[in-house]
Amino acid sequence: MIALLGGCVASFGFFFLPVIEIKPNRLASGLPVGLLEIPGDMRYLLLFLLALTPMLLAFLGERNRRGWALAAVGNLIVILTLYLPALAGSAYLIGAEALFEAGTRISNPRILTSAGIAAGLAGGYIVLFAGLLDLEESGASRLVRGLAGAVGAFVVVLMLAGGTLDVYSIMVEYHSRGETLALRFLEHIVFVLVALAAGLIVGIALGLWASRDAKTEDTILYTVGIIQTIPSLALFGILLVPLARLGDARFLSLARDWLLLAGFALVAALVLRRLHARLPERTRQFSLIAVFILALIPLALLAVLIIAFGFEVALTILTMTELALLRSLTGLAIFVFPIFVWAGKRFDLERKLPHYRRLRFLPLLAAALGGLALLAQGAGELLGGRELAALTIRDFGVSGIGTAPAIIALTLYSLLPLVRNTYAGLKNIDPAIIDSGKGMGFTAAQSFFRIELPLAFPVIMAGVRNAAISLVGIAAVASIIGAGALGDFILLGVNSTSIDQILLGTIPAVLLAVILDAGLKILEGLLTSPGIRQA
Amino acid sequence: MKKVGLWLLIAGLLVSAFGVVSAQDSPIRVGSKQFTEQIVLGQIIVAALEDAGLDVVDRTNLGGTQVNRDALVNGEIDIYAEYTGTALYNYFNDVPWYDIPQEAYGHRVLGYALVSSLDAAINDLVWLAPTPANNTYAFAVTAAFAEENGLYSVIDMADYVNDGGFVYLATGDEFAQRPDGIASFEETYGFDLTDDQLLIISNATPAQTEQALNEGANNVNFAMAYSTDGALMAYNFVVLDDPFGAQPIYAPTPVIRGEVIRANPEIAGILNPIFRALDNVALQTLNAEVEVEGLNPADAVRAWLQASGFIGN
Repeated sequence: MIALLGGCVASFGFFFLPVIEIKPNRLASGLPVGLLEIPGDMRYLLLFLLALTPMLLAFLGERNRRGWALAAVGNLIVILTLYLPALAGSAYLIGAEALFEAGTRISNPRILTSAGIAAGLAGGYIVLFAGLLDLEESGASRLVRGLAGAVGAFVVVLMLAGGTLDVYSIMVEYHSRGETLALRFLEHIVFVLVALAAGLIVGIALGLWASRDAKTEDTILYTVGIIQTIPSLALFGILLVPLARLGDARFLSLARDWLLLAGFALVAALVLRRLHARLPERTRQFSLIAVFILALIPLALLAVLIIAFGFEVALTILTMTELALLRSLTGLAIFVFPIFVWAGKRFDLERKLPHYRRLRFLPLLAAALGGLALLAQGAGELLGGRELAALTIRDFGVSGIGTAPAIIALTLYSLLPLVRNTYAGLKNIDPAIIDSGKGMGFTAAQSFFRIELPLAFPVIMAGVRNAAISLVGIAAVASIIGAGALGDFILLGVNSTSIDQILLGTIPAVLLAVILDAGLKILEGLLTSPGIRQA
Repeated sequence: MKKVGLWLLIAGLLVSAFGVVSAQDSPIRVGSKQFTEQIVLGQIIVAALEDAGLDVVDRTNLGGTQVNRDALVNGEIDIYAEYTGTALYNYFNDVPWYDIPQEAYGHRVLGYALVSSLDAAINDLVWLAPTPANNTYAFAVTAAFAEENGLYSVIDMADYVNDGGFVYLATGDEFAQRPDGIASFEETYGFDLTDDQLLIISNATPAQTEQALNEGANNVNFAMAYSTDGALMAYNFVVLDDPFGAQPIYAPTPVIRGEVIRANPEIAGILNPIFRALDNVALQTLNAEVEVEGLNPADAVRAWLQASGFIGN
């Protein structure tokens, strides 16, 4: 039945919708051409007929053979849907002048992929999916199915790399201004990950606080909710001026002020702690608030400085080619760790090899050392061997435009799902379980790390995934304060109604969101305590 | 005691790590707003300053008007190209002892003199030589429609409207409602457009209204446009002249922080001749090369600067 649907979608698209539009230049709208309108040989008709075959194949009796046939046809539809119109498009472009009325400006004509191609791709993948379902039921292994599913995408990637599809307008756009795309994509990834990490620390702390303290519960939950409703444009505007002032400050004087402030806060906290019991009841809470504010300001300053500096260092490292080897070794070491963990569980090495549990952390240690070396290199490069007294905070990456406000804003926007889910996860634990922990003599910390956190973990991870996906979208807005990322392409494309430029920014963002979600899901599976996994 | 020693050691290490000697001139950070013409102007500044051997940081495609202005005033960027009209309308409204005289908006010299002197006095910003171009609101029609009805300036348009010709104008809400928008044209040229002759697209940029005209959606036959817009060439549109100056002058002009121009006075000599050469035709051609032909802005600008002899090969 599914195969029938796929065949219908593809053949409907090929019959009724234009597959390509021939655009005389980058902006003007194009001349729509349907698959069957393309003059010349029979190939285009054959593609249409191919799209009809799943309707016949769907009635094929034997499961296994039907599965293979559908998978093959699905892949073939996907490949040809992209390949044949490109071929026809190149032919059209040779005589483009004759196609348009006189006076049309023809410069760099190009081929826009139209609705027919979208229908063909969707139909092809539905057919492929139907085939894979059949194969699953007839008992084909996971690997075989995965390979069968990836053939079409693999060939498409080959065609993209080989330049076969260069006639399409999005590829034309990529070749003319795509040289920064990789860097923007990288920025996007780093923005999302850094904001997620920062948000995770703050969010879990706040969620924990809210779940433990009935007085502040509402305040915290409402505050993160309100933050979410501030339009990003306004938030960036609010951040610009104070961060610009902060950026003007000399590093040394800020460090001195910070130490003074932190010391003052510490002394005040100690004094208040002594005095606390003796203060009259009414002033007690104010003394706590005073200490809190005193402690918060230096901490916030430090956090901003560290995050912005870390980001600038990260970008410096990622864009420096000399460090490629060290970088990839570090990445490999991080990658090897989950394999060690998995292998330990899969082959029961933890019991067979005496020191396995400890040895498996070796790659993490290597990665940490490599990371430190990278950080030192990147920091050195960034600060460019200048005198300490001459450095301003701006040299550390904190300024009113660019990465600092972007990271701060993104971190704030990630808080709502993280705090809410942490709070919900911790609140929903059956108190009887915690009580039984107490009965066994667990300390508060043991109870948190061994009972509450593992039990709340799936809920918290759901919040993390939620935050990650929404951050991928919001990070595009960072472009309006000059922070780069994929928004550079998207916003510029919107401002000049260039669909290709918009897509050039959007497609990587969508890919990133999908990969991030899948990766976090795998991570969730690996880290979830085995005790609650069956439940 | 032990702990104090450890902290001292860490502090010492940090200081020695950073204490490498050598000074550096701060580079010049070039901003721009987030649309084609602004990127072209920003890239012109980048290419010209780089060619003169200055250290430049490309921060073009920075954001909207407010972000660029705030960044410049707060020293986050050093230079970007602003329009005289934008500055007149937006930046000096809260100057307590001064109101911008009404006649300054449509007057090229007076407008420039006002913004440059006000900005120098209040914000220590220096306006370099303005371009002779004027990127302002205008009406666009298709070339075929212009020929058929003899429409070449807003005077012809007023006649066409007053003779009862069919009008459906695609416009953004701002242009339709601002007193210096359509209303100013109507007053200057003596015609009146009713509400059902307007297709008001909320928040529309000229890119969208021009697209509406190009596709003839809802029988649109006039569109709001920017007079230096490169897309006009793509669509084969005619921009109606505004001979009586119903619209304020928006001349793109590089604005630089006083501190930076005093440290690098040669910048004025580099940029002034280039911006004096940027008239409507040059700017529209560059915009079209980027927007219509799809050239990379930096490449298009470099080719133009080389062809005009402003930078070496």
